[in-house]
Amino acid sequence: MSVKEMIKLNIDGRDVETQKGKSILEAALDAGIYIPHLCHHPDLPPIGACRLCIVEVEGIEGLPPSCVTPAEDGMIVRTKTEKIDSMRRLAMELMLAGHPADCGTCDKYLNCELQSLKQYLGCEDLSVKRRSKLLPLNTGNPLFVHDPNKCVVCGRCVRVCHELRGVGVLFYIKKGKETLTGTAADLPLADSGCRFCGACAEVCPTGAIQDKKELARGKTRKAALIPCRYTCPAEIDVPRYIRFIKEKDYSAAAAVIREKVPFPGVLGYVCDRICEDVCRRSELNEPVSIRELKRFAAEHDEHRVWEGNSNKKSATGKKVAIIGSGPSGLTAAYYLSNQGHAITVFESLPFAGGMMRFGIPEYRLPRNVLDGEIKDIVNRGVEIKTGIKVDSIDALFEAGFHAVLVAVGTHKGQKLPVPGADNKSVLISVDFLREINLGHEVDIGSKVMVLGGGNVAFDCARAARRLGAGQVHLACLESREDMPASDDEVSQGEEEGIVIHPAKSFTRILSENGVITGVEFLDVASLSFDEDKNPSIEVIENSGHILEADTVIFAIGQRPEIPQGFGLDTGSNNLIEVDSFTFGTSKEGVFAAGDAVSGTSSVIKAIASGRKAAIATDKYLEGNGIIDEKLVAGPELEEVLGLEEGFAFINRCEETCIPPEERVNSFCKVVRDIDEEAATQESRRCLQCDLRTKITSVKFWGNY
Amino acid sequence: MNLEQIRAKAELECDYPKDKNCIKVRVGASADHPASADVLNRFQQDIDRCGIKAKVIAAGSSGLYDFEPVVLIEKPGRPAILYRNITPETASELVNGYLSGDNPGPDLALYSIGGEKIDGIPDSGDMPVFNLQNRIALRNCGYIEPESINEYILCGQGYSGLSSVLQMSRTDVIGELKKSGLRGRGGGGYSTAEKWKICHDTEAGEKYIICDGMDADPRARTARLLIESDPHSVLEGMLIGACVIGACRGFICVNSEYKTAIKRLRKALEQMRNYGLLGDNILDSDFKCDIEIKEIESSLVSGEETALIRFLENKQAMPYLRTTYPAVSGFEGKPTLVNNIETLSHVSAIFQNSAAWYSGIGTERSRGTKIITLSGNVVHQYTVEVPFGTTLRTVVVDIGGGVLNGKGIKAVQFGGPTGCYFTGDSLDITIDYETMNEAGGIMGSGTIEVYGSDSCAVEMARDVMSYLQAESCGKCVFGREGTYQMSDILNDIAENKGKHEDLDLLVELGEGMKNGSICGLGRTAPDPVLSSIKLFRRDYDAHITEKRCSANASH
Repeated sequence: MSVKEMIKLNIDGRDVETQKGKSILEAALDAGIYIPHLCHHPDLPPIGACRLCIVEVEGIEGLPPSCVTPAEDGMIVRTKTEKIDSMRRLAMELMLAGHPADCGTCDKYLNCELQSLKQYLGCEDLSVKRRSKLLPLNTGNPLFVHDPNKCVVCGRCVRVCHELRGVGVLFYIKKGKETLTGTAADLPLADSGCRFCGACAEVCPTGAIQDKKELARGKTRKAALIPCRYTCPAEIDVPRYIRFIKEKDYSAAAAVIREKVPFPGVLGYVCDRICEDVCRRSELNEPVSIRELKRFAAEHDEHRVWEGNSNKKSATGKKVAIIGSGPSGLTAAYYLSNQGHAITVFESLPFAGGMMRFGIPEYRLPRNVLDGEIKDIVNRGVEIKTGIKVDSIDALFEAGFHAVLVAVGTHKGQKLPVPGADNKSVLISVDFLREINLGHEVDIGSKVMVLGGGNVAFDCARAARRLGAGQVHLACLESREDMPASDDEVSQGEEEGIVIHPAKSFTRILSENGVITGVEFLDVASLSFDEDKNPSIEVIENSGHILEADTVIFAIGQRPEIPQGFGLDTGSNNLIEVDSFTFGTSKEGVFAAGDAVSGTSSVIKAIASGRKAAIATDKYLEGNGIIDEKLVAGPELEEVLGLEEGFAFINRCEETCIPPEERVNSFCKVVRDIDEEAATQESRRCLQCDLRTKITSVKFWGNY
Repeated sequence: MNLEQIRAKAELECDYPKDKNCIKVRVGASADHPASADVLNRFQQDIDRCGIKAKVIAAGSSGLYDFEPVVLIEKPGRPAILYRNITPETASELVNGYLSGDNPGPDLALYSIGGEKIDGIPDSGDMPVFNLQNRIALRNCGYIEPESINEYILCGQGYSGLSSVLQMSRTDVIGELKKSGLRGRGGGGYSTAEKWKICHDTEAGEKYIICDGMDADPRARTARLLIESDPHSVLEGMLIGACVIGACRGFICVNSEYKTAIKRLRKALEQMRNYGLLGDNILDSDFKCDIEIKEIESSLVSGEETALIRFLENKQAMPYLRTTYPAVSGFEGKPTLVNNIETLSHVSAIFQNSAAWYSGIGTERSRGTKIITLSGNVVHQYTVEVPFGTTLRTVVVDIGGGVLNGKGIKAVQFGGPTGCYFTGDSLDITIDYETMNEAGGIMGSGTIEVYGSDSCAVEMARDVMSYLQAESCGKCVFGREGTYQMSDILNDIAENKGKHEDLDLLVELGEGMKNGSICGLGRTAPDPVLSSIKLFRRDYDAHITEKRCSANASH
């Protein structure tokens, strides 16, 4: 391509150089000369409709709109004359004539281009006749609210829908005497073939098209517009990897995930997917199956492009010891290793993985997936020493480590001190699961009662079922709706025959001759938690009853086990106290991350915590703390979406499972894999909310 | 096939035009006329029964709607006689009396054309509606059978214009057109030769020709009349244009409500294809072209060429602000010749005859003729064609018969809904581009709306502005909000709620609209209002100051 020809023109007495082909308006704005404009938008073709950008050009009759008048060499342009000013004000007054006057009550207040222009032109009192359009507010569409009364018919939404997005569902329409923009025949957006990209709301200069308040309230702009990405604790770029999946480039998709986390496969199985809870697609029908897509990408990463594109920095000579090989420890190990530090991970158990291996049962997370991803970390140069229990941090410093990260998790379970809890057949969740995952024989009896309502309780119950327990019951304090376990855990558990007893308080464990016979319960009338998360239970009097059992498993939460020799300050529940910014503990050079800091949480939160601790540790070791990587370029943003009838109604690809009668016989994985067609179809459901943020934002006159 | 071969083929299929002994009965009526089919049938039945050698021809309308069905009887040895308002019964009378016998039925006749004078029948030379017209664009309307390409070829010199153009160089054709002085009949009056030259000179792989047959002004019946009565004159003009600029594709845009017109166009295109007048090697030359019909919902803005282009691009049919001529960059960014249907009918006439002939008609700078439709409070709501330079009075009074019930003329609005008014005293103004422009008016669609002496200028302006407001596409601020404000203010004044400042605001808005609207419609929309304030200030003052309507005592 040849260099664009440059031309010179004179604007308001200033010589301005610009590229041939630009409009007078563009030339002026580029040169920092403000010409008021409203219908013009930098990303859209100009139409010259609002007449605010009119100028005088020597040799051209009348007042041409500068947005559609090409700048030409030698042109002499005036942007401010009395004639121009009065025409601009008349145009502005005409637009304001039907626009509500009460700016203060509008959500767009102070963020409104029209308001800003009104101030610029000083149009407070109108010489033209004011009117109220009295058009109804349209709140019936998902995501957006349309207030046609605020519309000044700049036509940006129509242009962005047609010209930029190629969707073309918005038109100029007439209602009575009023012109507004909307769909043909006033169809709901979903029926019109709208892609819900939000470009119309993005370019609207007034409060006419706005995002629904309830979706944005209390959120940053990023979190409101791309909630999947910015709700993810690790901020994985969800729309970007989904776009790669749509293009069937699964290795690139996996690379995008790996830009933020070293465990794409693990997360594809067990992530608690809070991204799906906030997915904007759920406003249309159901959220995108992000976890399914993540798993699909991770399992089809044949080319492993991330590996080739990941840059490991040269050795810093600094050594870091990481205690614990769970998701936070290994994540920190991976990124700190990339930063050039020598990493040793100490794991007290015989295998690495922490709760991913010793908490989550194999049927939920196949071990080859976990092993593979741990191997990737080891291959990056991380040394994992298993079977070594660290008792003293000082000893590590003495051994030459420059920093220590404590990521020991929460592996100590607890029993409630009710009568009978000391029976040997009363087990503790984490210990029970650890035993199974170590491959040890566990005597489970035939009637198991799990006490607890979280995911761990379900892990215990479902594992017990697989170990051969004929009857497995689960009782918890919470009501059915308030059970903390995830919905799929509950439903899959029930399919497997787990009998759930919600709203029960356990008062005693009964036994005869040392053999457990049952658990005594009281029905719970209400349950609440105080600030320290201590429960306050109100039971129903005389509701005592007994359920039979021969084994009881307590799954009522865990806490970290911090050896005295660490010398770290701990707080409630024995959690390690850290500075929320530096992740530093009470001890110089010692950082902490994961469940041991936050209490039992999700894998993705532990990973995110590991990332933050890695950043803090790297900075402590005089690194730059930048651990984000660009592992793959692209994909090209598909700005043209095109019309798609029925787009809003494409159903979600739901996770499907092996039939329960089959799956209770083994620890084989429960979920079925989706095929390529389903993955493609699901990826096409994504609204691509990130596209909108690529639209150039308009500068107000105050910024010139 | 070349033209000679086509003619020979046409004569094979259609022998009566050349047959000196065959009587021709041409029944002319608008397609929607309820009696025309019965009249046609009756003629045919009676002729068959009597065994007369006569051909009944289903012609289209000639524009004299009041007299339909009209019947033109060309009897060998007699002047052609035009009969009016024929019914099946009077049709039988004519067959028995004039076709079989020798009674020309003076009671039924309107006039005779040429030849010896017939007792009791006026000569066309004495009939204003005949002798004040000069029918060029409408030359075949009401005469030939619109559904027969053979009639067009044999009775209307059909496709001889195209044939001669194909023998000439393109620049010579443009030169001839320039000599004819033809100006665009879409309203603006831009030199047609100049427009063709720009399009011709723009180099591009593909070019297009668009024929505007929309009748965007619903009172204009030009496109409907031309397509229903003589589609080939327009299509031949399109082919000539396409050939000169180098376009291989043409679109003829028609109001989607014109069902008969569309049907006849389809038929015409099919007939052209059969004669090799569409497709490759037209008339054995290397010229190739195809024409598609585009049915478009008509609205006032659909007459804007930029709106038509948008429609053809499958976009909302709204005008856009152009920085270059469509002749340089139009449909899909390619050079596009947009011509009005009336212009194209003139084009075929010019090349069937000659530029010199054409340039001898009309005024010095407005050559040729203009189709005019009369509407409103006028005796005859005809569509006629008069030479430029004809006065408004001639058209309204002499041809149109003046205001109904013998009342005086308060005003006429010329050029369509955005045309300005002329008072009953100023009707000696001539119809031509220069005079209209000087008077602040427009040629526009060439329609004339007549208002009787009992009309109120405020109400006239209010009604037209309320229509323009409704028709405004809403895209640009002055077009949309300007018409809204004007309509509102005029309503107030008409309801005696106006203030004197309102008139200043109307003028201020009008100036803004003239300068600031995207399309011609918006730029001319204030004209009727501004001209009515200037001409009929007293009507406004009466409403504003005296709170009464000066025109109508009941207000």
